[in-house]
Amino acid sequence: MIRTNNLTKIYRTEEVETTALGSVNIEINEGEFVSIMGPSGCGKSTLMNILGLLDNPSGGEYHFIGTEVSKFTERQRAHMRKENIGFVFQSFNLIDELTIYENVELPLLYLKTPSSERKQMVEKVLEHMQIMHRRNHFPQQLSGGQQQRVAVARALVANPKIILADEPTGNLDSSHGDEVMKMLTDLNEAGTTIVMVTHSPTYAEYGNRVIHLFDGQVVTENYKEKFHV
Amino acid sequence: MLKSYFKIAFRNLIKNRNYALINIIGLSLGMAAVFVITRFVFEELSYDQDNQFKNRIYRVYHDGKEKSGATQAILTTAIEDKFPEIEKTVRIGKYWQDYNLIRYENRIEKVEPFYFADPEIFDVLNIPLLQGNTETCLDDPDAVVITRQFGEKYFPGQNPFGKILTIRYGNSFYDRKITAILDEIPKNTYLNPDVLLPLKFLEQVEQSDLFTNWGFNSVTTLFLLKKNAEIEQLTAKLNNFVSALAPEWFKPDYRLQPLTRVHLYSSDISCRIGEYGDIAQVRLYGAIALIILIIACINFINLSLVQSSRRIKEIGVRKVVGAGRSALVYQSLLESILLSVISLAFAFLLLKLLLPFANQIFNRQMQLSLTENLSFFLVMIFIALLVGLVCGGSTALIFSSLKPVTLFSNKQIYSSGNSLFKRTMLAFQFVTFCGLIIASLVIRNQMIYLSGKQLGYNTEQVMVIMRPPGDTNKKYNVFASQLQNHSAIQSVTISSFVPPVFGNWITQSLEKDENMEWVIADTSYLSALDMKLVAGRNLRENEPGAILLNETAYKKRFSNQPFTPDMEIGTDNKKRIVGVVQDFHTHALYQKIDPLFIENAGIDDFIACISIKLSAGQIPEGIQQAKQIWQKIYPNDLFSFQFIDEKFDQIYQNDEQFAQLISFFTFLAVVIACMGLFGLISFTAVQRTKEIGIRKTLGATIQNIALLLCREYLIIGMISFVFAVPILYYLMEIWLQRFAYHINLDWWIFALSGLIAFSIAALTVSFQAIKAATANPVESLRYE
Repeated sequence: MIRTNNLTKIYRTEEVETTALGSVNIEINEGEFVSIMGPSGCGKSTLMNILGLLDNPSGGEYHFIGTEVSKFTERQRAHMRKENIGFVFQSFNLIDELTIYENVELPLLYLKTPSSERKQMVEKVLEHMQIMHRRNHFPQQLSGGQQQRVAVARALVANPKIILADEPTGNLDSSHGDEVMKMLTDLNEAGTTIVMVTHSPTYAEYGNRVIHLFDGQVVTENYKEKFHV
Repeated sequence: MLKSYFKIAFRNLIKNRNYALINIIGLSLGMAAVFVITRFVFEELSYDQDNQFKNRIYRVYHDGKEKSGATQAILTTAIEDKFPEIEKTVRIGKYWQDYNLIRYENRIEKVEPFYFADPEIFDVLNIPLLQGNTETCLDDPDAVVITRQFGEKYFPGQNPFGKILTIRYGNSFYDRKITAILDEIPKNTYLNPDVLLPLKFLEQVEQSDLFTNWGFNSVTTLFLLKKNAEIEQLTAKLNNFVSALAPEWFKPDYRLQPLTRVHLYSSDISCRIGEYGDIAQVRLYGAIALIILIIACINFINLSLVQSSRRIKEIGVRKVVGAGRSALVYQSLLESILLSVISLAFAFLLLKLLLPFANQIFNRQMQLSLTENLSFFLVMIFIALLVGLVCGGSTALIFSSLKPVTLFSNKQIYSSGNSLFKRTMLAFQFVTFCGLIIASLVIRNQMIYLSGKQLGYNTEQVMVIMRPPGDTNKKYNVFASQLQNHSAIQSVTISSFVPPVFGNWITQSLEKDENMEWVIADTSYLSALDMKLVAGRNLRENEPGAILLNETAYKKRFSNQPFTPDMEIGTDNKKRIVGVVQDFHTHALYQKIDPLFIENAGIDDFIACISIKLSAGQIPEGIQQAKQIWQKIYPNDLFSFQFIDEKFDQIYQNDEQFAQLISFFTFLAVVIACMGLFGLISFTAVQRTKEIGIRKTLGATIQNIALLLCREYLIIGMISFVFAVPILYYLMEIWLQRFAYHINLDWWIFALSGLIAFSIAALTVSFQAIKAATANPVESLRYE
């Protein structure tokens, strides 16, 4: 599903050149749950931005679902993104002015899903995430865990092929963190590919593979035999 | 989707209500000002547009050395049936306008000027009748046509049709039969008569050869041309025809002016009838409206940028979940259009409130009616939508072009290009801001100068009454001697002319074909008007050939030669100079003082003015006494007077109106610009929150931080001021050229304007800067 060849990202200013990613080669198959770990500044979020088509690499190739996308324009990336990728962020990134229902509905609006179908899809995912009773509330009225559940619901509602989660438990206490991890595992088991950046070795273990990054390079890739049932 | 945009727009409005309020207030004020001016511009441009023959009606005027709208009454009779291009002609005249009186129920009242016209006026000017027949109502010399309002006033509760109205012409009263009632004529019509009299009436009563002499420029002539008439060709033919027909001394120089241009494009044509505007004024006000609109838009954009920068996360999220650039642009446009539509509603309310004041300032009777002013309403809506589109579009383009990654990274979202955009907008606002302050100071100072300038005579406590037609010196002498018996009256004088524009200003050439202003006055003229003699003595009774010169005339003729009592002037008609009077301004300060002489001659032959100098502190008593004596001596004439200083106020009315408008718009522009500035400094404070926190933890003082935030604005302000000064110097020089006597554009005016602009701007930015500087640094660093 995802394959990168010598992927690089270099930030240039007038005087300084900083290599955020240097020749990253990774491959992620459909149905995998991959955790990405590494110290602060190692390039995890940069990699996630490129994998999530939020940013273009400086060099190398990036094949996403069989298409080379590294030279895509913002318009092409936006199109690819909305059809295939769901995002979950550390800080939830819900729109404060929209209700829970409206936040979850948003990706479907941009996909121009018909109204009746949209209603069904949103309600289904809200039920699934057990936040249906909060549908008319605003994000500030919810706990962190509940907000992250909404964010996951939003990531899921359009049935994306892959979910990219950037430290989804970073702003949560351990019980809510466990809850979110359980949700992601369940989704993975249902067939959704998940790529997650995390600082926590414990949560990284939820994945079937852990990629370690250091100074913009992949240093180790650990495959695990363990699969959650 | 649209529903979602609306929802978020409304919720954002409520959430950020303070910004929304500032934005809406600024925009509403700006729009209201623009609408008031636009309404005036529309009114001016609408004159005679409703006339069904508007493209075929032309006014004849003389295009000689001095343009004049007065033509000869004989013209239309001379050319009758000679020009197939001319379908109809009409002559309109206005005479004795200071003596337009009617008598009813034994009372005499002054009314709006009577117009004398040919019956064709109804067809040509499209004037509708409520009662009567357009073909015949002006046929009879004894007829009179009045408006419905006039009838309601003087014949309340009755149908005035067929009734008798007594009108005054010259020194006689005539009973006229009302043969038609005019329907209401729209105000934006070239001619708006209350009372119409047949021109035939004039032919009957006028003793002079008004209708047969090519030397009498006495009527306004309008032509209704046939379709597709060639104007240039017709003009040439007309001039040639008249040239062959008229006496040799008469050199025809006729030109034709389309009716639709008469109202606005006639400022250089003298002897006009009807209501006039000035295209230069319309353009000037249009430019002011445009500047205000731009200031309001810049303000709107600045404040929208502030708000959008607070919504970066939302924009980022929308991008991440699939919003394309166009979706974000639509959303931004919708939000700004929503704001501008709300502002439009408020602006409309303000317009309704301001319209009576605008009517007063512009001297118009503008209305707001959806049916009659539909195009104006459409333009208002168009302006509001345009503002929304331009303002929403510019912020949308900045934010929607950012990559989603940038939107989440808390980085500076302004690229150098955007920053330049912001600075340019700010600089434009500052230049306008400083410019308007300079303009209002200069204009206000000039107005103070005009009202305070010594004119060489007394403008206060002198009331001027126009002498009734047919009055004799014998009758006047009785009036004057009775007046002088009262303590409230200091002196009385009769003269052909009283400055600034009472009576007839006549010129005469004494020698070398050099025209001099000629005032015929009695011996009390100097004392009643407090004029000073600089040499010689005053005029005496029964002293034929004796004159007084003003200083300008004396210097022009005799240079530095000292005055001697036996000096003479004139070639054929020699005059003896008995004294030199100190220069006085015969006109308002638009004109230089011209050479002038005063002579005590037969005043009987002239339309004259009676000037009565009242004692200070006894003005009401003086007026009352004058009125009582007047009614006794001139029972058939209305006691109507004006003080000289009031006349000056009338003359300067246009400039005073301009001064008031500029002051108002300056105030408005300053308020709007300050709101924008306030928004921008808030924006900068938000953008630099982290930097402020770090600097504070490193020991920066409140002053350091405040200066850091204000510095950019103060520098832009100073640069803009440097730009504004030469532009305004040039523009104000042009404006001051209107006046022969004006203030100098001293450096202190610019310095003071700069100081005012700088103080206002500094106050605005320092408030927010200090607020940001005094915030707890922990707050700003907590999220890092």
